[in-house]
Amino acid sequence: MAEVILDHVWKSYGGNIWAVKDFNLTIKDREFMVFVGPSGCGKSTTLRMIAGLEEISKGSISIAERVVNNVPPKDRDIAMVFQNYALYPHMTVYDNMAFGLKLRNYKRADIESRVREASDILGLADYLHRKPKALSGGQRQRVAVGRAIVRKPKVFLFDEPLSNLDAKMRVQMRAEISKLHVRLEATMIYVTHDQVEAMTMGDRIVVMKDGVVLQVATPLDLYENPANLFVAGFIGTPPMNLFEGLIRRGADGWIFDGASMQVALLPEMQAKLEAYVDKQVVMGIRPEHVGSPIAENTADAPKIKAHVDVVEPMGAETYLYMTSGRHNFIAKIDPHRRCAMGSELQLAFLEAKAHFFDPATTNLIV
Amino acid sequence: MRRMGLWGLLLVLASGAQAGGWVQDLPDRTVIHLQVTDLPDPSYPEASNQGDVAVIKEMVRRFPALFAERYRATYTRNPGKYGRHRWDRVELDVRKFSGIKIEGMGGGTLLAIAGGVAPDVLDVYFNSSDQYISQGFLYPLDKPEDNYFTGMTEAEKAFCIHPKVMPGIYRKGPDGQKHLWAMPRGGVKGSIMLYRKDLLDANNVPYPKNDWTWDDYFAICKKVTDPGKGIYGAVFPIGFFEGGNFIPYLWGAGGEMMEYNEAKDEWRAVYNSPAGVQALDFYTRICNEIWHDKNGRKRYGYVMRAPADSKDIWYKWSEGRIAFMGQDIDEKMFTQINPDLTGIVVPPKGPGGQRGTSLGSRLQGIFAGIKDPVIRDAAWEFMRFLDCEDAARIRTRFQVEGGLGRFVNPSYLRMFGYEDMLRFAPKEIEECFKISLATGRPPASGRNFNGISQIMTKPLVKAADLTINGTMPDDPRERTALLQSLLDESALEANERIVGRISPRELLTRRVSAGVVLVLIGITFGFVFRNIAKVFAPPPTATGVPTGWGFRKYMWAYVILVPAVLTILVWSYLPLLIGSKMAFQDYRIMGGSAWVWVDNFGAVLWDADWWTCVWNSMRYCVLVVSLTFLPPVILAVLLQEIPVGKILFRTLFYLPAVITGLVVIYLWKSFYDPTEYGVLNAVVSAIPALGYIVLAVIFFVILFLFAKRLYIHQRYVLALVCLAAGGIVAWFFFSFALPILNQPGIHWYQALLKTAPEPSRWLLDPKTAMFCCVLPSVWAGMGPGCLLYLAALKGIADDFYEAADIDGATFIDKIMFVVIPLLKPLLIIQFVGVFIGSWNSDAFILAMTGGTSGTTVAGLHIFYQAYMFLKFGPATAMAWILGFMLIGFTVQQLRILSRLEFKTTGDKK
Repeated sequence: MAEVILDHVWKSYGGNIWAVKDFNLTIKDREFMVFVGPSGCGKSTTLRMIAGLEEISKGSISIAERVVNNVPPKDRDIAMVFQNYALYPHMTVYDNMAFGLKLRNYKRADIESRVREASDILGLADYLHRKPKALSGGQRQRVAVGRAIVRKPKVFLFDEPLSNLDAKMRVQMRAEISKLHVRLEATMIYVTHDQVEAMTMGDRIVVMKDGVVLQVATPLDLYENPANLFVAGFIGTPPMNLFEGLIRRGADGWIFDGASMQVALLPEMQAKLEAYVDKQVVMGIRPEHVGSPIAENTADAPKIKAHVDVVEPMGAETYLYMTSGRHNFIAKIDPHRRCAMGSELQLAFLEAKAHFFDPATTNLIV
Repeated sequence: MRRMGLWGLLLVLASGAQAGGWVQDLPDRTVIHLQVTDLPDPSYPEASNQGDVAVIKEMVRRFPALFAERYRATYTRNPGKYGRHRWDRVELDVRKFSGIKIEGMGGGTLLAIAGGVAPDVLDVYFNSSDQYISQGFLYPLDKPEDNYFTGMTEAEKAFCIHPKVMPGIYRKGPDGQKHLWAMPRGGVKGSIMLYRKDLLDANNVPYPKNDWTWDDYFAICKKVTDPGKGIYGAVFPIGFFEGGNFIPYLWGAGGEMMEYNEAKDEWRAVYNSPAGVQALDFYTRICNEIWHDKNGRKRYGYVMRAPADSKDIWYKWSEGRIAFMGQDIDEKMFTQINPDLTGIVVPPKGPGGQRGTSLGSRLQGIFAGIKDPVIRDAAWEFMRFLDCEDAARIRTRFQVEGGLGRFVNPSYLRMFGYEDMLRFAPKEIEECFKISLATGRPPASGRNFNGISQIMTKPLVKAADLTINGTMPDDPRERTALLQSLLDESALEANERIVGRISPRELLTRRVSAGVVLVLIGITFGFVFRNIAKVFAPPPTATGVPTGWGFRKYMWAYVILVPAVLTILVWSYLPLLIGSKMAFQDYRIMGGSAWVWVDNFGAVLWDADWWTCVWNSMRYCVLVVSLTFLPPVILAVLLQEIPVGKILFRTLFYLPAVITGLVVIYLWKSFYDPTEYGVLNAVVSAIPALGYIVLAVIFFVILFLFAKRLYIHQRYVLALVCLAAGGIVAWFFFSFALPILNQPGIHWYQALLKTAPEPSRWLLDPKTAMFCCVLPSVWAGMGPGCLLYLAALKGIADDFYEAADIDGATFIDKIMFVVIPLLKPLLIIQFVGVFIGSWNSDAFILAMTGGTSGTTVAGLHIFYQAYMFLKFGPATAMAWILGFMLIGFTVQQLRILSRLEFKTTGDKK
């Protein structure tokens, strides 16, 4: 069992400034856990605390039912892949992978078989005698991964491993790491600032901001039920459309009044929004729920008239950057639907998929 | 490129020597500027010095009249020879020579002559006069056409030149004829001994009488010496020319240094006589005899050993901590001694019934390189006046008026009308001086004598080392035999040097081997230049067609290069080429060098001294590389690791670097004081044996751990090197504990907490001297080196350390497998620098030890040969051979450097 438990973990670099605040999480055995968040949110710091590269200021971390606060990194049974790969430039690929094993006094034959195995998995067999300088970025990344897997640790830590790769390579490596996770059956903790990586790779995702965990959930759950405005805006491409407006109790039922756009509210939402009548709220709706075929085909879906600023055909769909009064939003529409830049367009809102947030606390209302 | 300094000077040589005086035409008068070696400093108020100043002033004042009387007519008549100047109003301007002088070398003038900036009037010392004469530096003063010496009256001659000095200055010159070469400056000097009355009184020793003997001298020294309090019987200076100090003892024992064979016109060293052995025995015993003081500390000898120029000697003497001090007193002005504190006595009689009294005289001669007879005439008049009766009168007056009258030779007091002063003059001074003058003899001087005192130094040093090691036999017969063999060896070498004759068979061997070496040198240098040209040639293009130098395309680049290239060519390579000619000549500064072809190389190849110096250089190089190259790396790594106070430590380690090199040397020289008052001795002797053993163990364990990790990583050779280094370092510390544990009378375990029984002799001991020469540069170079590495370490991304942490690397692993490989480019560059620097250390050693105690490195030897002994030919040959030996390293370094990729160490790619 390689469960990683973070119990009320705090981190401060001196003074009263906390880089990580009260981090509480249980990472299950063999789980692929992704920490995501913008720069400086504390995700890497947390990972480095798990690795033992940073001291823990408060709280405790345990790996495989052992508190590791005072255990040096090499004894934590972990392996880490660094953003810059940290390959030793003076060693060959083989030596880079074998280094950790040599230091642990593995037998020569054992080292050999483990490195061969890892290099087969990663497709590095032909490059074992090259120096890192003679490898491409992707190959270097593989060596870095290989260095981690030869030791067969219980927990793998990845610190933004793909951010130095080009877009295509990143997509490819992403899939390979996911496959590796299945194959190695180990616990993996993966830090990234790229929400696409997070969504595609993680069993569960931890969204962090300013050292605080905002939400821990599976990728779909995170997408569909963001706990607050930040998660809503951070997860998903293009991001969720956010509209500021008032809740009004009108004659034909409740409406969200955003000045230039008025959306009638579904009855099941009304109860939750009771307290917000005549108050400011933020309505969030994902681009695929605006003007998409499903929305257009839903009867009674409210229609919004807006100005088309930019048209971005993506092939499978087309993004429209729209303006309606003071609101800007993005719609994902059927690529066959013709529309021209500068024209006016009526788009259907799939209001059942809309979320409402409290602008003061940023938390989800419904 | 390592001999540049030398080559630069050689260039100056090649351009021909010339003197400094000149004739200046002013609208209303002509001024003759004369440059002399030395002038008294008018700002120094001491009476006899003021007397000297007054003499010079008087000379300048009288010159116009003197000129009018003796020269004007001749000059005006012969403008072709003397130039067209206003000879009706002529003035003299005397200036002090301001050229290069090296303290303690006495060869300042030689350097000036070699450098082509010699003064017009040369100061010559008695014992070096032969070199000046044989090299043709001096202008003969008795040419009838000049009417210099011949123009002097007999009374004048009698007043100026003491009969005992005459043989020294009236000698055969390079032309085989006898000439007068120099005039005495000041009176003849006789050696006497001064003693501190207070120190003898304190030890209840009666004052020595003039009939005392060596045994009395030895007994008094033995009685008063107390090294624990820094009190010694006398001072026996050390250094290259220690042999010179031995000569009076040789005489005292009835021996002689050199013998002249009139028939063969040949000098022979004869100091390996029984008298020589007796003298050496006495000399060695008084300097080095082992005894134990009342605290049981081991002591050596009864005299203070220090370089002759050590300030400490005069300090100790003035403090009354040295009983006897030898001094040469001047005929005219005896010496300034305080009769209440200081007594005067003649040197003691030796077993041969002789006194080791030497005569000396300061001399002045005219530089032979003067082209203008006007300057030469002025120089002669200057010299002539400086020691005439009028000058003596002026000096005497100043001395009497300055309260020094009682120290003036009474005959001068009488001569110049100061009879009333006579009653103040201490009788014993005059008596001593008379004995000294009667028994004294001038130092032998003859062809090829320079360097003989250096050869004579060898048996002294060897005998001293044997005594200190305890291997000198006590049995008088064995002892005599041993000392005899040391002297024989030295005399043989001296004779070879003087005669310079070798058998035709050996000459052939030498010439052949020299030829072979020369061919090798030629091939090697040719190969190297080809190689260098290849490296710097433009790379061929992909099509295989060379791109050429692109003069048109890169015109401005070449224009910008021109000054640098010209500078290097003119100041480095050109002199190197021109100077190389000297390697094949018996080079003479004043011209007329004979071609000797490969003989210089042959002589150098078979010169044991030279190879000893090469060996010294190698020792020095190994020490420098191992001590100054690695410690900054280690220090930097440690500093990088410590969590607090980084800046403080960095500053502390850097501080020594702000001290200038020369200050560092003198600072450390004082640290190396061989008595227990020396800073280093105080530190070292405060640590008990156990402390050293613990240090030895700690260092061994650290290096053992490194070796172990290296072994695990299959780096067997490196592991072995590490282990060996551990052994050496451990042995180094243990060697401090050894003499403590080895004390007679106590078991080693009882001595564990005891401290050193005797102070270390540091620079005086050949075993430690070289190490001590290196230590200051380690100390001073640690900070800057460390800073460089720290900067490089900062460039190593933390990732590497962290990755290694997670991989399970220990601190040692990280240093060996992460830090050092990543620092490799910098390490190589630094290594090259340190290595080259270690062969370029001549100046450092010169200032530190002057090359004594087995520290003469090759470069210093070359320097001495060239500038002290004026053997420019062999010196140049040596420089080429040294260059040849180092070229291999240089090529290898060039190859490494050309392969290196210069990039930041933390480069992630």
